[in-house]
Amino acid sequence: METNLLIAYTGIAVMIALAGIGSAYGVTIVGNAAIGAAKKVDGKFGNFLVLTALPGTQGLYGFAGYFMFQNIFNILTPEITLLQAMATLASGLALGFVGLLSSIRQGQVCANGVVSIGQGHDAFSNTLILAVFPELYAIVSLAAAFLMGSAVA
Amino acid sequence: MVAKMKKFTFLAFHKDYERFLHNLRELGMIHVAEQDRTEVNEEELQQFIAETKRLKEAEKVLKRSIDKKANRPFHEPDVMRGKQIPAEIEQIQLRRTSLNQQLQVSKKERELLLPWGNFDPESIHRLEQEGYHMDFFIVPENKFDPTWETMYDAVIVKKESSKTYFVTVTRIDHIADLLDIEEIKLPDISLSSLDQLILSLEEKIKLQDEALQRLSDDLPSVEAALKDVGARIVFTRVAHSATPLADEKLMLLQGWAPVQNEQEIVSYLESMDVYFEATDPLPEDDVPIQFKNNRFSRLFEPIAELYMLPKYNEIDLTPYFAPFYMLFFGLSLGDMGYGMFLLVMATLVKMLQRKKPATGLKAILSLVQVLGASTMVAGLLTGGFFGFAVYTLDNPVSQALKENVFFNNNQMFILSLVLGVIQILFGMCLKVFNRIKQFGAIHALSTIGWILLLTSFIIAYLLPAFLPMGGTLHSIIMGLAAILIFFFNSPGKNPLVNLGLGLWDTYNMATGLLGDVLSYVRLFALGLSGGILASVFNSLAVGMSPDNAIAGPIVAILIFLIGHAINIFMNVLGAIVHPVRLTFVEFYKNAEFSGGGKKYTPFR
Repeated sequence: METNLLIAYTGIAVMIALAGIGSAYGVTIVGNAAIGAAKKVDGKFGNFLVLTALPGTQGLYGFAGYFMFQNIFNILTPEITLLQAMATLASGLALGFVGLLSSIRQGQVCANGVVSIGQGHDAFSNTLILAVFPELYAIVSLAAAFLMGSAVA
Repeated sequence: MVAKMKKFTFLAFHKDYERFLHNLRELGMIHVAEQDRTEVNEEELQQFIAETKRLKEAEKVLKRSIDKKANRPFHEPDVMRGKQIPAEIEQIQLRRTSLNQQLQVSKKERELLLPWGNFDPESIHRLEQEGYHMDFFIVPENKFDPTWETMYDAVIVKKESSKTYFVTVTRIDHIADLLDIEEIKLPDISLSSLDQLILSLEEKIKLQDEALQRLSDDLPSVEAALKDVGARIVFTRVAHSATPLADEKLMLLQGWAPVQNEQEIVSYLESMDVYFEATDPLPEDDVPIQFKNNRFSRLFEPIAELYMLPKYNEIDLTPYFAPFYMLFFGLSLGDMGYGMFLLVMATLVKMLQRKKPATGLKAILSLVQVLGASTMVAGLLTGGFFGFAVYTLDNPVSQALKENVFFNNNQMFILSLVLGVIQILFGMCLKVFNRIKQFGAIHALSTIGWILLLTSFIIAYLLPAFLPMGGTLHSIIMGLAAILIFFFNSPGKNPLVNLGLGLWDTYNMATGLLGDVLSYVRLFALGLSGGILASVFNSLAVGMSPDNAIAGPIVAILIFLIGHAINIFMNVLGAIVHPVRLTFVEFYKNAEFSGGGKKYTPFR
C-alpha cells in the first residue's frame, strides 16, 4: 500500500532529519566555544575535539534507526502494513525529537566544559562524565525504536 | 575498608620546632592536621606561589622549545640552576621580541624600497648638496601627465598594476605641491644593505631560538625547582598548623598515622627531643581516611574517590559495590568482541610496562582487564561479537550456548531490574550495619522493618507455596515490619512524631524505590543500543563497499574499523559512567552513605 509506505517514510524522514539537525546544532555550539577557548590555552585541542564530537552521535542514532528499519526489519517495502507504518512513524517521532533536544542540551554541557578548560581548569573528564547523561535518553529512544520495530517486523 | 588510625599529639620546644618538622618530614608517615590560618599563610606563601607560577611558565616554554631532532641528553637536575632559568628565559624572550620588532620594520621598509631598485641614498645626498632635489612619486597611471617628462625631468621607473612610479630631478623646492600629488618618503638606506640587515636580524633571532633550545637541556632542573618550591609550600603550611602555647615557647601539633605504622613511628620519635602521645581517635575527630582493601576491591578505589571518601566511623562501600560495578559495566557494553578487545589491549600494555615500577596506570590496566573479562561473560548472554549475532550461527557450539545461556530482550530487561532490586536491598542491609556501627542497634530497626517487608513480598511472589501472599504468616510479618517502620524510625522521640515520620518515610520509599529500580533499565538500553550500532556498522561495511576486487575489501575494512572504534569509545564511556551513577545515586542513597572524609596525605 502506497499510503502506508508514505507514512513510514515520513517517520524515517523525521527520524533522520531531527536527530541530524540536533547533532549539527550540538557540535556547532561546542565548536564555537572550542574556537574561543583555543585562543587561551595551548595543547588542549585534543580535548576540545572529543568534546565537540560528543553531541554528534545522536545524528548517527537517527541514521542507525533508518538502517534498522531498512535492513534489519526489512519492512520498508510496498507490502508494508498500516501497523508497521505507524510503528515506523512513532519510532521516528520519538527518536527524532529526543535526538534533537538531547544533542542541543548535550552541546551546551560540553561547551561549558570547553570554556572551563579554556580558563585553565582541568575539567575534561568531569565534562565527559556529565555530558553522557543527556545522551542516555537518545540511547533509550534508539532501543525503544528497535523494540517497536522488532515487535511489528 | 578504612584503615584504623592513631592520633599523635606532639609538643616541641619552639627552638627545636623547625628541626622537629624536618625530622617529621623525613619520617613521612604523619598526616598533619592543618589549620586554616590564611592571614599568616598568605604573606609567606605568596612568594612561593609566585615562584611556582614563573617556574611553570618556564617549564612550558622549555617543553615547547626542545629540539627533538638533536636528541641531546638532559642535564642533571639542579634546584639552584632551575631557579635561575625563568629569568634567563625572560631575557632571551625580551631580546627576541625587540629583534623581531626591528625585523618587521625592516621588512616594511624593504617593501617600500623594492619598486625603486637598488641605489645608494648617499648619491641623492650629493645631488642635494649640488642644489638638485630628487623626489619620488607614485600616481595612478591615468593621472601621470607626459608633459612632466619635459617640464620636470620626470623619469618613469616602473609601471605596475596601473600605477606609475616616477622620479623628478629639479631645482624646485616642494615640487609635490606644484604637481599636487603626494611625495613618497623613502628610508635612508639602500636595498642591498637593507637585505643584509634583514639577514643579520634573522640570524640573530635564530641564535636566540637556539639559546632557548640549549636552555631546554635544563628542563629537569626546572622540574626539580618546581618540586622544591612545592615542598616548601607544604612545609610552610604544616609549620603554621601548630598551636603556640606558654608564651609561644611550646608548639602543639596534631597528626594522624595508620595503626600499622605505630611501632615504627614511636621508635623513631623516641630518638628525638619531643614529647608525644599516641591515642585512639575520639568520635568527634576529623580523622583522615586511608583505604585498606583486598587486591580486587583496591582496583575500584579510584571510582569510589570520584564521589567522596567515607567518614572514619562509616562503612567503606568500595568492596560492596565493586562486584556490582564489574557486572554492570559488562552488561552495559555487552559484546564479547569488545570485552575481548579491552582485555587483550590492557594485557598487552601491561606486558610492555612490566619492567617499570608499579604506578597508578598499572592499577587502571588491571581494572580494565577485570572489566573486559566481565564484558566477555555478559556478552555470552546476548551473543554479540563485534555486532555479529553469534547465536544465529548454525554450529553445535553456538546452538548449545544458545540453549543454556542466551537471554532475549525481554529477559535482559527483567535481568536489569532484578539486579537493581538485589543491589538496592543489599544497600539497605549495609544501611543497617552502618547505623548499628555509628548510632547503635536501635536506630537500625526501622530499616530492618523495610527489608523484612520488601523481602516478604518478594518471597510471597516467587514462592507462594512457601509463603502465601496475604496469608497469616505474611500478615504477621507485615504487621511486625509496620511496627518497626512506624514506631522505631527515630528512637527517643514522641510515638506520634514517629508515626508521622514513618508515613513520610513510606511516601519516600514508595516513590523513591520505584524510580530507583527503573533506573537500572539503563543497563539494558545501553547494552541493546550498543549492539544495534555495532551491527549497523557491520551491515554498512558490507553494503557500502564498492563492487571491486581491491577497493571493495579495503573500504569494507575501513568502515568496520572506524565504525567500531567510534562505537567502542562511546559505549565504553557510557559503560563507565552509568554504573557509576547507579552506584552513587541508587546504591549509596539506599545504603545511607554520607561521606566527606579527608584523604590521608602524609607530610613528606
